[in-house]
Amino acid sequence: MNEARVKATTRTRSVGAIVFDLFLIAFVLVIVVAALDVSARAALFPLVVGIPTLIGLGILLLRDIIGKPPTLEAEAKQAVYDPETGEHHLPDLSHADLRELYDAAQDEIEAEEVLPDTPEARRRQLLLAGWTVSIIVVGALTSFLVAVPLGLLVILLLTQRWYVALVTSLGVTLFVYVLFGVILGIRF
Amino acid sequence: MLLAVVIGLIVGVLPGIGGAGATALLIPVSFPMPPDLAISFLMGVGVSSGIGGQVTSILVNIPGDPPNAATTIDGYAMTRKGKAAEALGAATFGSVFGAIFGTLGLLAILPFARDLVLSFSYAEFFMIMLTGLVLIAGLTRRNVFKGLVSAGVGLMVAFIGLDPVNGQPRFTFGQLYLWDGIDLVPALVGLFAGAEMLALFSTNTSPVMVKAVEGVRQSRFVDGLVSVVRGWKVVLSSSVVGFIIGVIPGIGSTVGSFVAYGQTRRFSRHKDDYGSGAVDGVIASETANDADKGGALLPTVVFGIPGGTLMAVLAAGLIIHGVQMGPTLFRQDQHILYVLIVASLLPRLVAAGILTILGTRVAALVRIRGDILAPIVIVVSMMGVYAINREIRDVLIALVFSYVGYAMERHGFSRVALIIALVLGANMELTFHQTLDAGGLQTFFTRPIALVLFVVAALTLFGPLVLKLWRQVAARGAAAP
Repeated sequence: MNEARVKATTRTRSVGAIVFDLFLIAFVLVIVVAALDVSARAALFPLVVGIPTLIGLGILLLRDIIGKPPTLEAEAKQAVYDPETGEHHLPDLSHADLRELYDAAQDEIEAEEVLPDTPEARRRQLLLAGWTVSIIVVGALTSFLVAVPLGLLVILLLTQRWYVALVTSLGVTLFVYVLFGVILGIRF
Repeated sequence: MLLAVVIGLIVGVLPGIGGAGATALLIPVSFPMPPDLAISFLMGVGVSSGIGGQVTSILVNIPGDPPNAATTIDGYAMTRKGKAAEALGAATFGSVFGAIFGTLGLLAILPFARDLVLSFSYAEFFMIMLTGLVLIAGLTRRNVFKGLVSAGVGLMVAFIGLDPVNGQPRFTFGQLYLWDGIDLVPALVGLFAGAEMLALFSTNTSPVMVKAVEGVRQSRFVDGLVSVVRGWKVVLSSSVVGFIIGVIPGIGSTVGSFVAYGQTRRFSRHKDDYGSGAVDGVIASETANDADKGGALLPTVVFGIPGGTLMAVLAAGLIIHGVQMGPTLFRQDQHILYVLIVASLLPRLVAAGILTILGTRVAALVRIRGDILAPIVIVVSMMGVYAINREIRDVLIALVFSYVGYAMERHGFSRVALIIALVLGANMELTFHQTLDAGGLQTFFTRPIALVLFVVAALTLFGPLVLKLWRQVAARGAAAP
């Protein structure tokens, strides 16, 4: 098998990255196209910003479609902070120069942003995402004073003991009511 | 202010939320407050969280915020040796001195910066915003290209609404709701809440606090103060490093604390102690972390360029209260400027006082599980967003931005660049057109300050690439026979 084909098959592609690039391209494209319908003065700055942004997103999309080889750098970054155990493994900075210190700081910032990726973690993330949407829907159809205690009770029952769920959901509802309803005077 | 400090400390101790995120979530709560009080409240939460973050860094080896990460190196090692209280004391008092230095530095430079900025015209205003945005896009993440694209997307979002030049609705697609543009608060809350709460909810354990080695004499909090006084050179040098790094938008206090740590070790006579419980390492990182905030206030209040994420959130909070950072602050709201400066220092002194009293007992908060906290934070933030305009669409905007924020984090884009672009977008466009009207495109290149700023932006963008190519050519030349 020739080298190019070997390299192509070992490249990693992220479907999520491609989808997100497409989402951003769609958003920027809609604004750029809409700019063509407004006056030249109103369209000038959006086009000055929008067209290069669109080109940049196009390049990112191409790069994500082509994919990239896994690198040692990526592995090293992951090793800084393990989001599943919360353990921190900073490199030995005792002999680091300025560049290495800067890189260590950037590794720390980027590692902090890595989301846990185990099946259990992904299940929990989906659960939270779906729960958030349902709270908004129930709140819009009824009232947030109904949605908040119900929603909290449901999600906490899935992850905690029943008395923890009950006390927490009632306590938070009371807090929300006092803070927003009484102190800030918001009617839900 | 006491409430802000307590909230900030709690937020700092609890891993997963962060000072900037908590400040964003509390902006809606600050609505009914008068501007002075709102600023003090939001600033108090944001700056106190850094002091709270030391606790988990030292006791649990988990930084409350990335800037506290360098503290874990020696702080946690000191805990394992039974010196947790000394480490905490050193971090706290180091922070106090760093905060005082940062504030004094800011006050010293302010009169000169004020004279400079009052001489600015439209071209300079536009260029300073452009340069600030490029610096932030280029320095906050390693992938400069994605940082710039993030800034571009942020500007595109900022363009939705009434055109700042003509006052006509633009990109609203017939929706009256969009005439005021995308509200900053739902966008901020969504961008910060999304990824953080997903991460927090993903694990079902709480951090374990290490027990000190038995038989070792336990230290006291005041031992930390003694260490800080003895290590005054470390305090001074780290304060300078932190302040200078804070002044440059985009670099951030994480880099400041790491650089201060590295430089302290480099000039130390006991290099081998570092990494296994050197108190000077703890002092260096936390002093720089707090001096940084004084430095970061400088570009924020003087030029209206947020120095980092926390400053971007504060700037957004101030805009919502009708206060514009930058030259307008000097011209019209100078008292707000001094409220800001006092609010950046006093809460940290109060937070240090509270930590001195409570000591390591604060760490009990770490036991609160993320899967209990995350739904609570989401609910409170949704209520806060709804409370702005009693508008369910604001909550939907926050939801959309929470997914966007999550995706941005996952795929290496810069949320900070997007937020700052959102904050600066309208003003950038306005000053762009004002410059064109006043003297045409050449004005950007004929006015000296504007030209210098343009060169800085160009160097930030292309400098690393040119340097890399130069090194490759030089290496090839050296390798050639």
